[in-house]
Amino acid sequence: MLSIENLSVLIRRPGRQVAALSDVTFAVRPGEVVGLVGESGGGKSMVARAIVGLLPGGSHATGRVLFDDSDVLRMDDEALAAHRGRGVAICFQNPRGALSPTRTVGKQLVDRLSTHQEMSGARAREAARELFEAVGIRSPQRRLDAYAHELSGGMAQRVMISLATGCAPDLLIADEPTTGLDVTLTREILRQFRHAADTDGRGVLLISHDLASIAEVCDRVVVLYAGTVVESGPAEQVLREPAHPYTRALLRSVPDVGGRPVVATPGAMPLLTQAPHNCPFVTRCAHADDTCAARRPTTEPVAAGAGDWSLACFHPQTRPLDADGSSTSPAPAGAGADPAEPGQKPAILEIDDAHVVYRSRFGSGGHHALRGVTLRLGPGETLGVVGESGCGKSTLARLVMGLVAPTSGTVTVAGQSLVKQPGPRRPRGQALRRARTRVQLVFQDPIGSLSPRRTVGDSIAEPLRAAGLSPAERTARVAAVLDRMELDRSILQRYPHELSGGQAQRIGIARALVGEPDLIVFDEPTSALDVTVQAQILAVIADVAADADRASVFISHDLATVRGFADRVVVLYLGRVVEEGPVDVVFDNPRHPYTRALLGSAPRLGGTTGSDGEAVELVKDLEEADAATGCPLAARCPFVTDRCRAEQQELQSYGESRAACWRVPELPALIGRQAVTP
Amino acid sequence: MAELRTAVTGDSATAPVVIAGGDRDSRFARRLIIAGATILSVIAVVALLAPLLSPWGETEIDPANTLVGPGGNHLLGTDGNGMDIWSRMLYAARLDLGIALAAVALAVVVGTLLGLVAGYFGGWLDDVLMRVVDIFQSFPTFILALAVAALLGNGTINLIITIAAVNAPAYARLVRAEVRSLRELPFVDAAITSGASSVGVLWRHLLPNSLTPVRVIAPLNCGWAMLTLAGLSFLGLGVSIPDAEWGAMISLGAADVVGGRWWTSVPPGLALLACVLGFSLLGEGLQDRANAKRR
Amino acid sequence: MRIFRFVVRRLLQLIPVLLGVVVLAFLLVRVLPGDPVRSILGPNASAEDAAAARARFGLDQSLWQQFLDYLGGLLTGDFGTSIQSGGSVGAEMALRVGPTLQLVVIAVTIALVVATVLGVWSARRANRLGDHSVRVFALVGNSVPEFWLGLMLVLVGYSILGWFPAPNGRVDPDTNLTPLTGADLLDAALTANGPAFASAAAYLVLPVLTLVVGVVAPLLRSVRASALEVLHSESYAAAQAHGLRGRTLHYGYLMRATLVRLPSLAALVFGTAIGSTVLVEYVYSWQGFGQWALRGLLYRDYPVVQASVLVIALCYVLVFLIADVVHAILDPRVRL
Repeated sequence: MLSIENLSVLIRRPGRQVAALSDVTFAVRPGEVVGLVGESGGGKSMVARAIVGLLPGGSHATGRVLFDDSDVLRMDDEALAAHRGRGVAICFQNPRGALSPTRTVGKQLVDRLSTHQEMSGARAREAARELFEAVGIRSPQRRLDAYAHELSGGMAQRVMISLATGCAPDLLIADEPTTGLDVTLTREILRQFRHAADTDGRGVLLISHDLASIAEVCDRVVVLYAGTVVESGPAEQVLREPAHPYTRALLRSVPDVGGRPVVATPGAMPLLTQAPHNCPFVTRCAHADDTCAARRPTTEPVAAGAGDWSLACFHPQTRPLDADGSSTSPAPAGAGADPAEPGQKPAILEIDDAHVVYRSRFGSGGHHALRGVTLRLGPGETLGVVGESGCGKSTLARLVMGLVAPTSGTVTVAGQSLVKQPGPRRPRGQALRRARTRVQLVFQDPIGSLSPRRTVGDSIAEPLRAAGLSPAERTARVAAVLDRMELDRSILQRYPHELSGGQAQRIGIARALVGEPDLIVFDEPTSALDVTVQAQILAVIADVAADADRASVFISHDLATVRGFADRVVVLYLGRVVEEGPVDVVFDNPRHPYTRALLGSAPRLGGTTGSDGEAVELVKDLEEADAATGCPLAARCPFVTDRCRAEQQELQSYGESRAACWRVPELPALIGRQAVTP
Repeated sequence: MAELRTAVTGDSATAPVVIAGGDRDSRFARRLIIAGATILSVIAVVALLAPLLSPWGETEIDPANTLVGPGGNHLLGTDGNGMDIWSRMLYAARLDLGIALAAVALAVVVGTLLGLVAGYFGGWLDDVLMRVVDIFQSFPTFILALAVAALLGNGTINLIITIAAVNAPAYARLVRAEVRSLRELPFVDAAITSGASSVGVLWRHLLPNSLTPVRVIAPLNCGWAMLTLAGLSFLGLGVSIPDAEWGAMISLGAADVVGGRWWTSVPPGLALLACVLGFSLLGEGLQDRANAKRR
Repeated sequence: MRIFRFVVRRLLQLIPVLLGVVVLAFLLVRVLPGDPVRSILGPNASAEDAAAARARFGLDQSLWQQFLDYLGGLLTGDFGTSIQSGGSVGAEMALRVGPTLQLVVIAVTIALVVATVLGVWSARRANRLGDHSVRVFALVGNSVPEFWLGLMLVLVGYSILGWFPAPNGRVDPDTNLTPLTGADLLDAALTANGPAFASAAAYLVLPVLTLVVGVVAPLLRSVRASALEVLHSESYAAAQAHGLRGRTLHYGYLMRATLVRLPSLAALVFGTAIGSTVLVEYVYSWQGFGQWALRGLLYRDYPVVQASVLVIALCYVLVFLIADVVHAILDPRVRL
């Protein structure tokens, strides 16, 4: 149906030229789900644009994009108009942005139906309602009259899928459909695409940066690197024993909830100005030799592989993925040494029954972001904090940093108070500024956390300025921390917009580290980074977190990243701690239904997910659940009873960990029953 | 961005498909900037060299030749007082440019400082400042300029203050909004947690970043300031005869125009138009460039 | 009903602003250098005459007393007595508001239509010759001084071509138009006075044209910019990539999203137009509100200045209120 042959796209703009795609070749057949995988800059979106004939201005395209035997690149306006929608329909990456803000979503769907399926009036509306129902939208009739801004992220993505399928396309393209969605929702959305392929016989092209998470629903995957196809083949085989070194690097960069160590690949994807003459991965590849540097490998079928498994590499790898990774894993913090016993040394961070309520600007109400969190952290300890978006993770970070004051309860860092609160007095002026530098934050958005019009050197030295160090001392300390981050001195004179995400995050860590604080809080430090860069940064963080006399808090929505180096882990849900304990205990033997659900939906290598049959499926999306009294999970928990709804749950000890659920002892039996009758 | 149409070059299946666009945006913006800068430089040079380029003095009267048409001793004729239009038109560039630039500079400085303080500290200070700005902005700006000009009276300094006072609230509001949105960005939190003081955050981090929109608005504003000045003079509330100013010159010739004696008002009007157009072209070009960067 | 509540709340919020305007205007006119009494009596009047005149207008009383009197008058709809003419300010103003509103409303309406059509047209041809011409035209329009443009139109339209009447009023006095609202076109239509209607229309052409040119340029730029933003938006790209056809795309996805911005732009431009009318009326001897207020300002006619400041502010904020309501109706994202 879709067959791309030697597609190359060169983008020429004044002052720069980018070889976005070079000799890309692959095909999608009806009823097949194909995953297009790679890091940003790899050319995934450019492929999608070429397929719908929406290449950006300044593009020079060669090759062919054959759709049902006609070349999309060379279609005239009329053919193109017929091709778009009916032939190919895209689900856009940011669904809320891709929905028109001033037209009800129902009307937008009817527009598609009437354009491509010649429906009108009541019939189109009825069909729209059915489509909404098919993608899992509850009370579809009412949702038809909603506007885009009234939808939650998951709901908007569902609407987007219904809009795309409403065009009745032969090929459905989904551009990063699960970005920004929580793990529990991700699987549900991905299933929708598998469903479209299986029941309607559509071809589906699934674009993603995360091979492991989409592999489950894909028949085949195509891996892009620097605008070239490096490997393509059956999803299961590529995932299990990838043959191209880049595919292997990509997979090993992703942390896994099973505790498999991350292997970082040095370097970054090159930005090519013309089609490469050699292997684009050569500078980062451990197996590279002179041949790789001299010639570009042609795409050849893998001899051993079945079907249409092919790759472009002179040195295909054949060993299973796990065999060659274990030697270079970063040492998990405190893995060798005994984790510090809290209580013996003075605690660095103490949070006591803290509540945070953001008051709405007018009148009553407000958002209760944290509801009674108690934490204690000693020197040398690393605490992992996990939860879905909206669970209060970021508020916890701001609370620790003294950027928000607790509405009730207290927070102290190294015995000092950074905000106005009952109990310990807050220092003032210079003393407060020095106290602030004892705890440092590494931000989620690495470039945004650097002042746009200040040089990198200026930003790193900021905490030292507050500490009142002389310029000479500042220079020495900055130089030392740069060395530790393996950054070149020349970077000091640059501005944030000239940095890559990975560089900026190293700078962020350098700034946090330079004043030798007692506590560093990492707030989702890798979620904005590309996969292989993420692995590099995780290695750096693991190293920093292992420092003996400092405590670290690592906040993430991704359970797997926490497992690498945290000693203890805390699971947050709607502002409450629902489970807490040593990291391995919580991950291998989760107690709380919510923790079980989170772990169950996290992707694992090898295609299997969840703790093998013990997965808990939550019944609703997070946005639809409202927490009143009682257990916060009551609205979504499959094992809910009246007691859950009535009583607030306190943390209770179950073995080495603690969970806020009274039904923990009965859960294994309940889960078994759920598995039998789905 | 994406072009709707793919432009096909050659029908062979191997020839590259070229999609137009991509650079036209920036090319037009560059042309606008160059055109605006050229016009303004020419006018600036003329203003500086006015004594060399004008055969008559700024306020020199030729009593024998009042209201004569172009030609002869007077390149563009004389006005009702017998003053040479060409010479006065050149001299007027000094006063017009000078007052407009000084007024906008003053407005930018005052407005930015107020907006910075109001936006960062919030609270009652912000409330008071913003209510004052509200009152200022519940009048059309030209009406406000009229009232302030009448209040302060004539004179160059007073005119500068008038035009600055009318414009400063807009800058205050602009910078305040910018500061408030910048405050939500992580780099400000980063500065605070790095132990920076309030003054440090304001001066080192917020000020340099909040000036971006100001830089784009200011040139457009210069053109507007010039129109306001001329408008005030036209109504007799700005620069008055015998000082040379384009608006005042047009005003003086207004009655003659109805009678068909065009030379008194047409040349100064064209000069004014050219100068304002120079600022508009420059401002539009800069705005285009800023938009292109944001995209 | 939410709209109703919103309007009421906004009207209540207007009270402090308007009160501030009243106080400011009252104080500022009295700080003005210059004396209203001197300007009516002339330089040779004796001190006794001046004192008598002052007493007649209540200017000898304390500032506080004067303010209370003024405020009390305002509450009963009495704007005071003009020092210059001795007539009721309210009655004078009523005659003057009509002609000016007629000018501004006609000009702004024409400008809105022209700007919307041309702005969207231009955005759809972004960066082609047509678009560039429209943009340069808008820039020139933005840069031309209205009063000079007015003079040039008189020069061409009256002095040279002789197509339009001289700039000496709003309607030919020989047509015996009975003023009702002050808006001459409306009055002529109401009294079924054909010749007056034709004459009023002829007198209107040049001043309206002058105002339109000044007002259309910023509007055109904004409409083009917001249409361009919509065209570049993800949502438009999505609709396009799903193959929606021209008409659906144009009306359902482009126009509506573009027009959402129009009300607040229109309000802003309405304010600009009120400012410009002072100049335009001056050029065309329009005898409207702007000219009346300007003369009040020049002669320090306290009641006239106070009244006109208040009316302009009221007019301006009401227009913004209407714009906000229309915006709220057009844009589902606005929460009242």
